[in-house]
Amino acid sequence: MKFLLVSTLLATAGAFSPVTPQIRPSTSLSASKSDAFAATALATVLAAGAMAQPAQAITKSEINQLSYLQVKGTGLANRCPEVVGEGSITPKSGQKLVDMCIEPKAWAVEEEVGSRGATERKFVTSKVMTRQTYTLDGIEGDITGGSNVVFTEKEGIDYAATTVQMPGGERVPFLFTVKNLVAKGNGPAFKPGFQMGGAFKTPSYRTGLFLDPKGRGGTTGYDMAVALPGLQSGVDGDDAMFKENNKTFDITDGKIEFEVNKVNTEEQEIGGVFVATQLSDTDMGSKVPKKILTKGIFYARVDTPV
Amino acid sequence: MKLAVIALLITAASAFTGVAPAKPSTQLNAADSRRAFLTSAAGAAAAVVGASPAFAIRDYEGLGYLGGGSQVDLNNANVRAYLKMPGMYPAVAGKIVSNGPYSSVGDIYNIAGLTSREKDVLKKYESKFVALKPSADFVIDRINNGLYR
Repeated sequence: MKFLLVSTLLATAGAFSPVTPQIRPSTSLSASKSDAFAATALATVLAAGAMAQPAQAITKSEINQLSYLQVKGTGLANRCPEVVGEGSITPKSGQKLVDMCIEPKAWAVEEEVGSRGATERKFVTSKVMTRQTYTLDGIEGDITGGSNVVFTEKEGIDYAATTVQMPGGERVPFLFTVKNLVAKGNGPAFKPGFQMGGAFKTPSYRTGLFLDPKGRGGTTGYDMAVALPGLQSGVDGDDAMFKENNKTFDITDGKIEFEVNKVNTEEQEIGGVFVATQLSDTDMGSKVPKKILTKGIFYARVDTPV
Repeated sequence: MKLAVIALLITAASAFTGVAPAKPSTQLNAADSRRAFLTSAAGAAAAVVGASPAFAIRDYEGLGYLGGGSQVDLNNANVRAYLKMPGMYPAVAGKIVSNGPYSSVGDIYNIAGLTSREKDVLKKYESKFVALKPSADFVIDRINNGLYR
């Protein structure tokens, strides 16, 4: 049943086709004001055009040919490369999965839906509020070959603070991540249809040195709200504010499933879709986290260390 | 009479020791016990609800090993704690904080990619290292804790 659910989710994630932003040829330094205006207008037209155009694959080798100025401001750095081909790669132990890119395309937040008596927990599609910084990239880790490929995440840009907005307007921040992921595959080779998945850890959205507006923090800061000493004296003390004063570093569990649907044997690249669930921010222990579902695409390359 | 009052106070104070073990703190005893009580009360409530029973770390025991003292905690200290040891920062220190956790100080010699010169440097400072229990909120800040001085 669970497996069926995952495969259904993966199938829906497969609906995401690559979105290719229009690459503009650099921002000119000598542009006068009117030029800049014209350029903006042109860019708007181009952007509109790009949306109307059918999706076009942009591969890793094409991205590698671009200069910084060609990528800057386009949002391309937030996209995962596409993979062309449907080959097969049988990885060996000792090889690594590198340049892994995980780009969410849809977000949902679990919520209690329905009136009293007949409520059910349901994932509600939510809108991403974070601009162009929510994709994980450069992730690498070890591969264990054999009858079932196992990928162990080691390092890279493996977390991205993201905020989504639910239909009611409530904003839910969460640390999108795959830290300490151990993903077990269902076969010995990366080929279309190959699936792998496993658990990861979601660290606290804020780390110890973050100070809240009242000067309280995890590993630093005050124990109680600096601005409200009167509230915290007397018999009840900080009872009412205990949740806010008690700053914890919560580590929660998440799960991710990948399905490979493109393999480029020549470039040793794999690409496909993913579905992940994790918990949202607890605001350092004071809020009950919500369950977040993300779906999107991923890219990775099999590398043989010399 | 006065003596009796003092004796009473002492016994009353000793009643607190069971709740809050003596720890170096700037808090008054009364405040401390109140907090301990709230913590246990909230703990019971959390156990009922099933929410996170985690509590904030106050007066972290390993504080003196995060770079302020003569010894450095290999598992929790930030990379800049090694600045005081000539030869450590940034190369060897970087390798220490990128790896781990270490169950003992001797574990650092097993870090992959250490050169023999780097091992000599580690040997030189071995007495200045301790390997305390990793604390997640410090471990995550080992490479970059956002403090640039």
